[in-house]
Amino acid sequence: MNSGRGIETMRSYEEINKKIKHGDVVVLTADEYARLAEDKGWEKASKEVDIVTTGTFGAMCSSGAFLNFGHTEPPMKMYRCWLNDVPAYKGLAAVDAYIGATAMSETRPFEYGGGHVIEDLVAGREVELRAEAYGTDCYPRRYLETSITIYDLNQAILVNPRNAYQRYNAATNSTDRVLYTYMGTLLPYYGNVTFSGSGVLSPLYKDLYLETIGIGTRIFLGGGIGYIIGEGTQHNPGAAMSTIMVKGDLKKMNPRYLRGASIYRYGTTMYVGLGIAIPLINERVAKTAALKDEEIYTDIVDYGVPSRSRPSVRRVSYAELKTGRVVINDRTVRVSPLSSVKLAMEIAYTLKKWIENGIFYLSRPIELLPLDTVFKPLEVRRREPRVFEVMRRDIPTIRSDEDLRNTARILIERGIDHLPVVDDRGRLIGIVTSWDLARALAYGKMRLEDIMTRHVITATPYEPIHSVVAKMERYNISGLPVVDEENRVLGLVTADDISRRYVVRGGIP
Amino acid sequence: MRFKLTFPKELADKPVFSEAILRFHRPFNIIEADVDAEKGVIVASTDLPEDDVMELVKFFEERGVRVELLAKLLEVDLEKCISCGACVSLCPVEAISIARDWSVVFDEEKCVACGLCVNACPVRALKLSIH
Ligand code: SF4
Ligand code: SF4
Repeated sequence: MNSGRGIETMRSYEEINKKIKHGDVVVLTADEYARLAEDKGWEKASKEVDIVTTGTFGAMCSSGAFLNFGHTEPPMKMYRCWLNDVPAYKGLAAVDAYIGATAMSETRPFEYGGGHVIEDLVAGREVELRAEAYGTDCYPRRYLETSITIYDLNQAILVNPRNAYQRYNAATNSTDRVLYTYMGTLLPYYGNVTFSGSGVLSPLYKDLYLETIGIGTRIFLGGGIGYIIGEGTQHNPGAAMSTIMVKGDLKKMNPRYLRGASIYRYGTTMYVGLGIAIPLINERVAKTAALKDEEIYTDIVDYGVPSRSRPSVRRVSYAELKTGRVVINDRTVRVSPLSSVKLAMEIAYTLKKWIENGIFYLSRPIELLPLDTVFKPLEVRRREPRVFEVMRRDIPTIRSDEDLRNTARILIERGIDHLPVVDDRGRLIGIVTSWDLARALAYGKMRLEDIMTRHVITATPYEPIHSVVAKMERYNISGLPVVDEENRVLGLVTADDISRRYVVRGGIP
Repeated sequence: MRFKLTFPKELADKPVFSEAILRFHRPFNIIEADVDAEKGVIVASTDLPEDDVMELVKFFEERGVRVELLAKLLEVDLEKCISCGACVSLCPVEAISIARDWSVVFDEEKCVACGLCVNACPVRALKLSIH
C-alpha cells in the first residue's frame, strides 16, 4: 500500500472544511459509521458521510508536559526540581522542566505521580514546587519552595512521545500466582484477561494506512485541541501497532480527559483522552474506517512468561473481548477492558459535536508518517553473570526418611543453612533449613517429611544472577537449589555467595 | 440484603436455615460460614423485598438465632470512576459488570469484601468499609 497514499479522490480537505463552515457536514462516530457500512456497504455509506470520529481513553505511560515557571527574584538555574514531591526532568534551561507521567512521588510512591501532578494542574489546583540549584553568578538563588497553579506558568504544554497504539495485546497469566502488571491484575491459571484499546473506535486503526493522520493533524487531546507532531516511539506499522507523538496546550485541557492513575504494584501513569477526526478522502480510508470490532484482531499474550517475547495463547477479536468473556483452554474467563470504552465513545461523540458546531476544522497533514519503521529489541551486550558461576556444587542432599538429628548434624558439619531433599534418583522433592529444624524442636515434630518445604523455588545454571536475586526478594528466601531440566540437584545458590562475590565489585549486578 | 446469623450451640442440629428457605421461597446465598465449639455464624444475602425483611428477622429470632443486618461493604465513588473496567474481571462473585452503555456498574449487595478490585482501581474510586 503506497500508491497515491493520502490522495483525495472522494473529497478534499477544502471541500470538507467548507461544509463545516456552512453547517452541512455529515459526521458519524466510528461505531455509527461501521453500523451504517454494515447495512449499506461501505461504498454507499462513504458517499453520505464526510468524517468519521474516533476516540480512546487509556493509560498512556509515555506522556508528560513541558512547564516554564518564569524567573524568581533573585533568579535561579534550577538543577533539580519536584512538583508535589514528584521529580521533574531538569536537564533543560533554567526554569524549564518536563514532568513525566510515570515519575513517582518520593513521599507517596505508587500512589501519586507525574500523571496526578498534570491532572492537578489542569484542574487548577495548587501544586508545591521545590527546586535546588548550585548557584551561578547569573543565577545566584540556590533553593526555592513555593506553590504554583497552572495560571502562574508561562507555558504548560503536553508533549506525549507515544500515544494511541493502533491496537495492543490482551493479557493473561498461566502461573500459579497473581501478577501485578501494567496490564492490570492478572489472576493465576488464566483466571482473567485484560485488554487495552478501543477497537472499533481506535483512532489509528480506522485509518489503517495512516493516509490522513500525519504531522500537523489537528486532534482532540485531553479535552482540548492538540496536534500530531510525528510518529510515536515504537511506531510499528507492519504489526498494526503504529503510534503517534502529540502535543497540545495543557492550559486549555480538561481534567475529565487527563487523569492521574496508579496501577497496583506497577507504578503511576496517566489516562489520556485522545480523538481523531478521519476525513473519508479516498476509498481505502472509507473502507478501513468501516472496520468492525469483529474484524480487528489481537493476541492474548501470557504475561506469566517473564520475557520480552511472551507467547500468544490465542488470537481474539475485539468483538469477543468486548462481550466480557473469552474461552481459554475450554474454560470461559472474564475480561476487563483497561481503557474506558465509555469515555472513548464520549470523546468520539464530543469531537463529532465540535465539528457539527463549526468549532473544529480538519487539517491536511504536511507530511505522512513512515510505514516502514520497525520496533527493535535491545540486545544486552555486556556479559551478565549467571548462576553456574557462583553456585556451590559440592553440597550434601538427603532423603526424606532421614532422621532429624542426622539432618541437623549435616547442616552444622557442612556449615550450611539449606539442605535439598531428594528422591532415589536425585530429583528434588523438598528443602529443609536450619529454621525448619528449630521449628521441629519447638513443636515436637519428629519426621523430616513433616517439616520440609515441598514447593521449592529453584534456579537453573544459566539463569542470570539478577533473576535469582529477584526471586529471593519476592519469596523472602536466602537460598535456592540449582536444578537441571529433570529437576536433579546440581548445587545451591545463596544470598551469601552472591554478595561475597559482588559486594567488593560494587554491588549486585 | 445481607445479614449475619449467630446460632447458639443448642441449635447445632436444627435445620433452621433450610426452614427459612422453605418459608420465604427465596434463594439465599451463603457468603461466609464458620462454626466453633460455642456457636455457628453464617453471613448470607438474599433479594427479599423490604417489607419481608422484618419477617425474616422475626423468623430467626423466634428460633433463638441472633440476626444482624449488614451495611454495604463496598463504597464506590462514582465521581472518580472512569469506567475503565479494570476491576470487572477480578471480582470472584461477579458483583461488578459492564452495562450496555459501557458504564461499570456495581452490585454492592453481592460483594464479599475480597479487596481485589480496591487495589486494582487506577483512580482509587473503590473502598471497603470496615463492618
Ligand atoms: S471487594 Fe471483591 S467481592 Fe467485593 S466487589 Fe470487589 S472484587 Fe468483588
Ligand atoms: S477500576 Fe475503578 S475506575 Fe475502573 S471501572 Fe472499576 S471502579 Fe471504575
